[in-house]
Amino acid sequence: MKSKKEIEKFRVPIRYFDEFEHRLFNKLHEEMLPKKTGFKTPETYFFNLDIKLKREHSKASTKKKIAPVISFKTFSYAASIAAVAILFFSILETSNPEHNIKEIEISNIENFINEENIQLNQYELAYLFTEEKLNNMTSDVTLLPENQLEDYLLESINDSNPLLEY
Amino acid sequence: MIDEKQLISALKSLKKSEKAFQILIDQYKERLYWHIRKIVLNHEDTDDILQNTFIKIYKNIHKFEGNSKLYTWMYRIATNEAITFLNKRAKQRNITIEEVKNQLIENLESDIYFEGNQIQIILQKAINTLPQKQQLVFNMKYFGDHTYENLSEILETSVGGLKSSYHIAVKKITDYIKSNETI
Repeated sequence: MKSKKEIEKFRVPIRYFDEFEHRLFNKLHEEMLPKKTGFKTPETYFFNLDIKLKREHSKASTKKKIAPVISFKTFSYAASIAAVAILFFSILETSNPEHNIKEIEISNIENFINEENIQLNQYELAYLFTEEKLNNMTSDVTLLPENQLEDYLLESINDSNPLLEY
Repeated sequence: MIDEKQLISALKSLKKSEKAFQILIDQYKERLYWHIRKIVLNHEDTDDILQNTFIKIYKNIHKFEGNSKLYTWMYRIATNEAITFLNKRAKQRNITIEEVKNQLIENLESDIYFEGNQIQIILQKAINTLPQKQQLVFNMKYFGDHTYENLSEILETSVGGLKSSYHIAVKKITDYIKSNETI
């Protein structure tokens, strides 16, 4: 049995015993985890990899430099002149206040309406269509398959009453 | 094993680069492969990324100034390539990187290059719940068996920070496995 004097000669780090349990449980948790990932490779993969990489390596090292026909400096001068010309003509264009509604793209008009920037109810919309236009529209419409139509209605309609009527 | 300084010098030399590159591939292909595989999980993607990693190393060796060890630099390139791959896939599919990993984990059961059981799949799901960097710390420390000093160089994080991150990761993974284990 060690004398009290001999025991007192030994030291432990500060808070060693306080933290011992925490460190022990960390170690235990780690021990409980699976040791392997389960991943494997095809047979001879690493052997064939050398050949693949050698091929890629020779491609990269035999790549020849191509001398440009037009030097970068000349190209950048030409690009700057072109940019100034485009800017000049676009300023001229925007300084003309008269715009034709036909110039506005259909997609922009559609977006404007879809984002509810125009508050039109169904009666106002109906008023805008002539019978001839309506008849032409029906022939143009591609009918959705029933299952897609059902999905669309289920997702888009807030009021379920119209669906319940059927 | 060739001295690292000699290898770097040979890689930068016009005459010796080819032979040196072969030595480099020989020494590091398996370590880098498994490092990438733990990030992207399937063999085919790992193969692509590994090749891109070596090509990048070859093309950029002249920029390597020797401020860190060569393998540290290579591991960083491999890590960046793997994470870039996952980010790209997430962007293409308009989903998060976590969702990409979840899809990859779901595919493991039918993957011919996966011989793990259900517990290993749950382990991968558990790892996937961790923040990206913590996943790296866990994989590299637990499966890769790197020392904290090595990890500190590769991930540019303090040893203390890594230890803390690792222990938190182990705790989270253990809790996840306990609550999801059906066996």
